[in-house]
Amino acid sequence: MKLNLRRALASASVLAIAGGVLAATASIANAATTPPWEPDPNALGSLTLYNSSGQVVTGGSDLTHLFDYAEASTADGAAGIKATLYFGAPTPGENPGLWFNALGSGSTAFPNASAPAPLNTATNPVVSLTSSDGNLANFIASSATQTATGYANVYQVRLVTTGGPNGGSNANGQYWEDDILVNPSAGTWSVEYPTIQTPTTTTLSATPSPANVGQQVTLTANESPATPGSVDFKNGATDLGSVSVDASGKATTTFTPSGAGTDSLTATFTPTDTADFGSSTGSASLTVNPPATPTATTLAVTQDGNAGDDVKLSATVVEGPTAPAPGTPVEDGTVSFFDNGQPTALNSAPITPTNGVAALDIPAGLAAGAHSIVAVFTPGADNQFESSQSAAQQFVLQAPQTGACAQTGSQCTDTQNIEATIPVGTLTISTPYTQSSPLNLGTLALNSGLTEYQSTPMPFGNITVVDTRAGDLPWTVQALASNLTDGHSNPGSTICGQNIGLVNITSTPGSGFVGVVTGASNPAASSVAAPPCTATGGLGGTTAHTVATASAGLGTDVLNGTINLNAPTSTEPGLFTGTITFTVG
Amino acid sequence: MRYGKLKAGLAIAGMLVGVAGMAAQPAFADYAPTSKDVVGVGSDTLQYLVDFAADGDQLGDVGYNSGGNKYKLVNFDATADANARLAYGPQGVGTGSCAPGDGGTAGTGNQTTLHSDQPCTLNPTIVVRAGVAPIQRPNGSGAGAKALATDTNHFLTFARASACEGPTCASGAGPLSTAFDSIQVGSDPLAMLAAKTTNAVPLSAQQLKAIYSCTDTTWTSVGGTSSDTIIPIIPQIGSGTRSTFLADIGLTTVGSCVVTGEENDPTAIAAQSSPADAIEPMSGGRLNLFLGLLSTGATNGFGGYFRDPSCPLNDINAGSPAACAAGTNVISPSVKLITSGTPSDSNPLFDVSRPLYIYFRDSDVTSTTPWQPGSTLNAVRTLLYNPCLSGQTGCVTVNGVQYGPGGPPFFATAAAATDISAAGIVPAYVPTVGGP
Repeated sequence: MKLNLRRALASASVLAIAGGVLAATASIANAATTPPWEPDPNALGSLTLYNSSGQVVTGGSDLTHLFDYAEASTADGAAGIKATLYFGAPTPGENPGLWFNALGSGSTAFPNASAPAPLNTATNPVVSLTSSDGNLANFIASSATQTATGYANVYQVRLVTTGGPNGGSNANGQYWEDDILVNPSAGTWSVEYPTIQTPTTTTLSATPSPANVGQQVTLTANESPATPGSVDFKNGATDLGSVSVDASGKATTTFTPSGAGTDSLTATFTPTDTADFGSSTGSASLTVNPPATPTATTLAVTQDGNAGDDVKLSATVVEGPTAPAPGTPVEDGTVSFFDNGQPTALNSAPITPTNGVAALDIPAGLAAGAHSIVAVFTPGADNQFESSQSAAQQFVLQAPQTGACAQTGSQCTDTQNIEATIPVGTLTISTPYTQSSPLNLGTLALNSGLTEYQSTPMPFGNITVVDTRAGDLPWTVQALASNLTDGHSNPGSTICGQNIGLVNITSTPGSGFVGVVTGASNPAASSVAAPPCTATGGLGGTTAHTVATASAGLGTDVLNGTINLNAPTSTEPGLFTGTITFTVG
Repeated sequence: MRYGKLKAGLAIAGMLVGVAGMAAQPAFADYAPTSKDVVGVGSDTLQYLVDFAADGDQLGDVGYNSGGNKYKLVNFDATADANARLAYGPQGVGTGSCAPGDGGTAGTGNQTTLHSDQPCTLNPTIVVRAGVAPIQRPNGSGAGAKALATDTNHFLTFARASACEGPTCASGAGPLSTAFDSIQVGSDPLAMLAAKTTNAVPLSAQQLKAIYSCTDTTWTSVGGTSSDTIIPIIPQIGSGTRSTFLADIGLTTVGSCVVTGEENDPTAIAAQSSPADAIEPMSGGRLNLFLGLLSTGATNGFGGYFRDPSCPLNDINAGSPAACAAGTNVISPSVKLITSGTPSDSNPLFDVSRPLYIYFRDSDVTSTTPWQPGSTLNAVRTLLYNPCLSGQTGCVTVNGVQYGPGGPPFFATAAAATDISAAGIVPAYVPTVGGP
């Protein structure tokens, strides 16, 4: 039965060739427990179970409908015409044919045209299950609980055939069967017997590909998942030998094609553990071209003897002296140029088909010293030609001369290094007023309209900007006034910063200051502002106000202006203080 | 498991054992059910659908016993003949002299003189359980129901009935009390059968009452053109088809012109002196079985079920004589059911559909004794009726119907429906507690 299941799965495998590499899948097995009644003496074989799409299933989570189709592993020798599924409840010590059983489906005529391809043309018995068929849960509910080792939670699904001149397999008390292991708590099931093999995949590659007659080719087989076993390589029907896979599942061998054409290569993996793993075959198609034509490569170097000057390399590849047409330019391939035996080429250039020439120009030249350059020809993909290598071209490049001139009249150069530092510099601003020496705006007086208190406009001067920054940079002076307060918390104890005006800004440049300074007036709010101080105007608010800008200029500039303060009539009497913060940047 | 079929199988088994050297093997009669087999008797109309449900059909559909469980569903046919014909006595039909043990008069088996029953049918017997003496084979719904009702030994598990046999029948209470439940397993048309070439005309129930009471005796009296005498055939006493038919036409006692025949036997038409004038009530399902039709009227792809019983197996296998060759030996009676046309009295045509029942003890439903080894269900819950009773846990719902643990009983499965349809009967599954 195990063999049958393998065959069923192998038949479902899909072989695909891509890029000369073929991958194949096969079936495999887990180390499951073999039920104590197996091999069932009444069994004609096993079942392959399918879902509604025709995909093989080996387990599931619906105990009320296990699967949609079941296919017997062999043809019905009793010539039945209909297939039916049964459930069987294993009973210790009892022949499986005498177990309690119940129908799992109705009877289905086979071949079963309603099944998905390829089941619809299968000649082995196939039974269809409707959505209400295959209800193992009901069968379990009607079955006595078994606790003996190997019997607990295991049930048998059987396919019997009936009808026809001989009455089908049922007339002989025979059937095809799988044993199903149920996990009652999880509500899941899986096929316990026959064991389900783990499929393997084998891929095969050939290097070089294509190859020439007489050229050694390396075959590499990669088997996955890696498991001990051997790979048998074949070229058509010719056995190329068997090689054990390494720990990574890799096996290699070599062979030499003996004739032009297409070689069909295969690598068949056979696991050591045939019970749990399946075999698999990879294949590859190798194009074998006729023997390659010998070539000869010559190299010409153009250089002026000086390091750093332009060097030109030109390789010419022609058919060699023993070729059918000696001297004929080679049409396809690449030339790589190597210097002094270095593994990395200076560069490569393709062959020009008309003349067999591959040229490389190195405008920056090569380093001073001795050079030994070879040109290596690598044939094109069709491998029509053999590779070849030129004779080495050796030369010495002189470094540029320094110091005293070696010859009369020649010009000599000697470059000296100098350095200097430009300081970053600073930009500062200062005012004469501090907390201990504030600008006193005096006592405010009611205006003539009795609508607000007003101070006498007063000079606000000596706002000094000193710029020593490198780069002759512009700067901007901004100011932001706080609200004035007498220290109390009632509305009348605050005078909004918007009521502070700073106007008539003038600039007094210091010595050497060449920048152009533009002042900006910020008059007090036109209508005196009152708490909560959301009005616009003056120097109050939350955003700093531009007072002056300078286009550029190093040095000192002193700004002067006129400041005044207004207050609402609701302001309580007292001394009000506040700040004006100037910034420059 | 069907009585007649199993007989041959056991005979072969006995021969094989004999070859093996077990000379002490006793000779068997027919299969005698073991103490745990489920045993049923009764209606001729239902016998094939239960036969098929028990053992599968000729189309390859399986029955309950096909799985090989230890205990079997044993269905004793109404007749000893697998073609559902009466077994006739040595004097045959119409001789006027029946040997002791023949005919319808009870208690004549020990007599030494002839009596006058017609026809002189042989009273066949069955061994209802292994080890007990043969008893009369219940032939028909009423006979089966009475046997079940009076079976204090619990030999019988169920009775087949093509007519109501319970306490709530429209025609009055039957022999079965409310201690018996039923499942309707199908429905079957009942109409008048006639030869394909016949003088018969479409008949109403009223006209049939006049015919079977022998009031109207010629076709001209019921709208026909022939002045021939009508030959009305009635199934045997005890037949559910007979009781259903008589109830449907409103007649209690048939007239002396009526001929008794085995129910649902279309060959009774041809057996009469003038087949063109013979009619009998006939199961539509049974005629399907003769003609190789499913209950849908579609061909079963196999052909008619009944073979010419004059052909022994060796002649069939040899294909000689030609009349016995496979395929040519199928009985295909030249008859038809009258299911269309308008009776001359303008009353509705007699063409009814009747439910088919299986009766069983209600107490068997709640039995806690598992039937099959390895199962938890009793026999009735396995085969006939598995309700979810109040307070019961583990009940399941399948296709919208709630059942006790284990799900649908066999007769509620699609497999059983296939078997029933193969018997020509339209399948159904309707349980009734305590009736009808």
